[in-house]
Amino acid sequence: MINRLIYRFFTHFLIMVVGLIFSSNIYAQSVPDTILLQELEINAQTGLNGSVIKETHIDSLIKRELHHLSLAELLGVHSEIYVKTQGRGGLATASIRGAGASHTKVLWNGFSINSPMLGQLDLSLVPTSFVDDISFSAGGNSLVNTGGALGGSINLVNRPFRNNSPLFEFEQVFGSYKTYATSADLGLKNGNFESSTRFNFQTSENNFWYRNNGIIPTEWMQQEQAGFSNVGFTQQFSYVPRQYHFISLISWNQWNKRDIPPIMTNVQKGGDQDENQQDFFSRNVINWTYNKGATFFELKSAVFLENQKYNLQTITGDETADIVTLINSENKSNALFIKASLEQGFNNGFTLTAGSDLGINAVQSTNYNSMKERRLSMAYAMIEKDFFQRLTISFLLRLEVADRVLLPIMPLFGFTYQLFKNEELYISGSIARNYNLPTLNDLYWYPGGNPDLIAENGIEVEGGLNYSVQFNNNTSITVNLTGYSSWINDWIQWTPSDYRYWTPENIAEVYARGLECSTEVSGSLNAISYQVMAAYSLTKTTIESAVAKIEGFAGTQLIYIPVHTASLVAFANYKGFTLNWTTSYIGQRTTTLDKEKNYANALPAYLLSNASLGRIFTFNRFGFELRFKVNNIIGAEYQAVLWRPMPGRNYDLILTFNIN
Amino acid sequence: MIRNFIFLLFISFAIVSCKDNTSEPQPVVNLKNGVFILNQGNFTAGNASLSYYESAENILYNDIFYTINKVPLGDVAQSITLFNGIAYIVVNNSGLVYAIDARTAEFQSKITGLVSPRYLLPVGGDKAYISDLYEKNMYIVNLHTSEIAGLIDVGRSTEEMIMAGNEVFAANWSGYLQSVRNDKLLIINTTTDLMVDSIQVGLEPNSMAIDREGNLWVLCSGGYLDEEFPTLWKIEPGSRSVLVTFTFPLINGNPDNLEINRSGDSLFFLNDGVYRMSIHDASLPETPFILEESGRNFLYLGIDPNSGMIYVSDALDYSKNGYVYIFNASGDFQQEMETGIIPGPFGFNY
Repeated sequence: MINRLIYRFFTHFLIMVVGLIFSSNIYAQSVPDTILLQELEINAQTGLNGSVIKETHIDSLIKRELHHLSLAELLGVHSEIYVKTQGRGGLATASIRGAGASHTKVLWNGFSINSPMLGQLDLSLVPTSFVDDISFSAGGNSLVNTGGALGGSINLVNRPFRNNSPLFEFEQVFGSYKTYATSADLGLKNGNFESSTRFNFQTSENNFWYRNNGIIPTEWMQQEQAGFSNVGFTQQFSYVPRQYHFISLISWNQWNKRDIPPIMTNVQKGGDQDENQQDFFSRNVINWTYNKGATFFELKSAVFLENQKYNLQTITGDETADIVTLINSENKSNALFIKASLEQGFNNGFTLTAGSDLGINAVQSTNYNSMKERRLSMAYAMIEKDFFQRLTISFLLRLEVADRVLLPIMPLFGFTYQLFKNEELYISGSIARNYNLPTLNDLYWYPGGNPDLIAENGIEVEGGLNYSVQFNNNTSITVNLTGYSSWINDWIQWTPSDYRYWTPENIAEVYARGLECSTEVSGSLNAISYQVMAAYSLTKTTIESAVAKIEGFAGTQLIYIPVHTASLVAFANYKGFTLNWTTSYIGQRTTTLDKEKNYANALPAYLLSNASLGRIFTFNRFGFELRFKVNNIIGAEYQAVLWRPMPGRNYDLILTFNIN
Repeated sequence: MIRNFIFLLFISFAIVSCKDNTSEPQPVVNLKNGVFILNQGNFTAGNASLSYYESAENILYNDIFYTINKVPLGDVAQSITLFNGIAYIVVNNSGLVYAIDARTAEFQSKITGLVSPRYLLPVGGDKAYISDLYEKNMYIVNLHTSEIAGLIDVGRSTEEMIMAGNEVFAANWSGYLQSVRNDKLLIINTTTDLMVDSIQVGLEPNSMAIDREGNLWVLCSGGYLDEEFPTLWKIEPGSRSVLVTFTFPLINGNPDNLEINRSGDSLFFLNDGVYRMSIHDASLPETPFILEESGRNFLYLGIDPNSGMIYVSDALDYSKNGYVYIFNASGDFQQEMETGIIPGPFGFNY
């Protein structure tokens, strides 16, 4: 009975979502035509059924499909995460549940790799091929991993052992606009010792044609100065010294270069302006793990080094044609972390998890008047109790000390309950409080930094339903529904000061609430195996500060946060032929807090569809795959960032070879 | 059931419609006497805009450049100059100057290829100078052909300009990318288009005016980081003689937007309020002529040359629409208007 009801619900939901995606009016921009925007709103994916702490894993098929792209494109297709991107290879940051980019913490093997200066991470600089597992935890669910993630956390994990991964894999991509990507993955094993080496190289001139209606007259022109190239490798060693123990060391080193093009309104500027960014980072983690039965203990340490350079120069118009450097900024940051954690299960249904972190960030920047440091200490403990194998209750406490200042306690209380004994139908809820430290730029930028800033704080409540069922014909259906509500206070905002420069203050209050719906069906029809995922998110994040109320703009949606987003992802495999379809709907986004909307402060909604067709060949241990992909099939013109053009229909040819 | 879903999927795919959901505002074809209000917009956001206020009719038109020309104004609209029925709008970070008809706002021509243009000053015939923030040259442009005709080597960046006789006085306002102090007026002969002299004033000269007696007034803020006390200078332009120097009492004051009334005998400037003084006053005014009330932040000042009405802009938090306040010649508040982002320079159109 329940199954039939859920099946009918799924039917109607899928019809609604598909109808929404494909039948909705797409409002053409009345203003300058929008340029293709790679900004994709990802919607909820299914979470773990019986877990209190919700962690959503990126589907392996999607990861495989987008293996040649960055984390920006991967998350932009399939999650509750909104990725604001300036296009392939351009700056891309993530926002979860309407919070800011600095409220999204990205953890790599347990350590935050967000910039200590900006508090954000550029997702375009994370190759998908360098990571094994990608998951995210929204809102208070992130507290088990880190503090400060008022929106949520994205978790990137490298498995220490390759298990069934291919011995060797090579992938070559040829794409439009002189885009080339090469990646390789080699695994070696000798007794208790394993080595995993990965290499990735990407380059593109990114010289797509677009219609520039930011100038008079409107004309088609080729994007210039938008090329990028990234090259990097990871090297991982894993060793099992004895039973139940293993030691792993991983090093990720990468060099990035990116040219930054002018916005559409500025292409007629003189001086042959050149704006570019280069950086190098080395991220290294070593860990020792003990895992026996219900005991899991881990001790790990991380060393991160990063050097970033930004350069803006122009050429004088006189005969000398001298190069004039306008900005030559260099930032060096180093970090050292040590972390220990223990998870212990008990026979009476209790599980205890506890951990402690110590860390130090040091930044030398031309934008600070001296080297700046931040020392962090963190500790957390969580108790989880299972009752009658149907009710699970969790309680977590997290403490953080930053530069000897103790933040208020961050608690999380949650539950999940199986409504019917023989049905995988769960209801869950949680409430949490979280704090986010000011970034080093907020504290020490010269001039303007404010060392008196306090941490931003938020309280979040969420509740949800999760259902999954498997039918006899191997068809499975999962449905997820989550609602949340959070208040974020003392949000840091840069404002004009009494002097001539801006300075940050803890002044904004934000109310974020929303709804996340997702469903997934997978199965097989004769020789065709398929998987279809559909999702929708409603995100209302409005400013509610005292100043906003006085000045009459309270209740306005924050900029670059769409209220409505939806996605549809479908896979099919028939005797080695693969078909993938992805469609994303991104709703209107505003660029200012003005209530009245016009061409400049409201970016229209758009629909973005990609499809790929492939063929897999296998012979003994060798595998070969050829895939042809069309991106932006309908050639939509859209903008993710105001006056940043995006490419139209473009293509990728992907060749993959592996040895198992 | 699955077959039905797949069928619906493909049917839905075929149903895609585009709709222009914005209502086109009624184009304005004949602007009456009034004032252009330039809304600078945010740096690298490309959201500058143009407003127009018909003073007698009390009608405000926002986004008039886009309404008439169907393209955005650009990135950081810096200044506007009215000359021979044309409004020249310098769009700083777009590196161009748009020329629009001052009565219809229709695009006429554009001057492109500029590095970081700031102000345009017609100097006679079809010739004009454009100052630049990054170049150590000033541009000579032909307003008829809209082309760059040459460069004037001045060795520093330049900002506001004013003409006295056949000489242009250009302020070296910014100290960016220069090792010497930004405390000079550079003097260019408009016949030879060569820099012929310079005058030292205070640090960071930001605005100038010429009074009824032909004297040049220069207002200096004292530096970006309040390095020195702000100053006001009275100079005889022909002889370069400094007649009077006034020093402001507070080092962290930032007086700017020096303006003069039509009769050329009263100076106005902003300094956390609107101040007024006679050109014959022996000292600076101690109290503002128009108070800057709590919650307001005066940014730009304009004096209507015909009515004497006083226009003051307020950018609020610089990230959404600002306001323009209008006061009568006696300093009494009349009304406020919501304009675009960072409302700024005024261009009176008579």
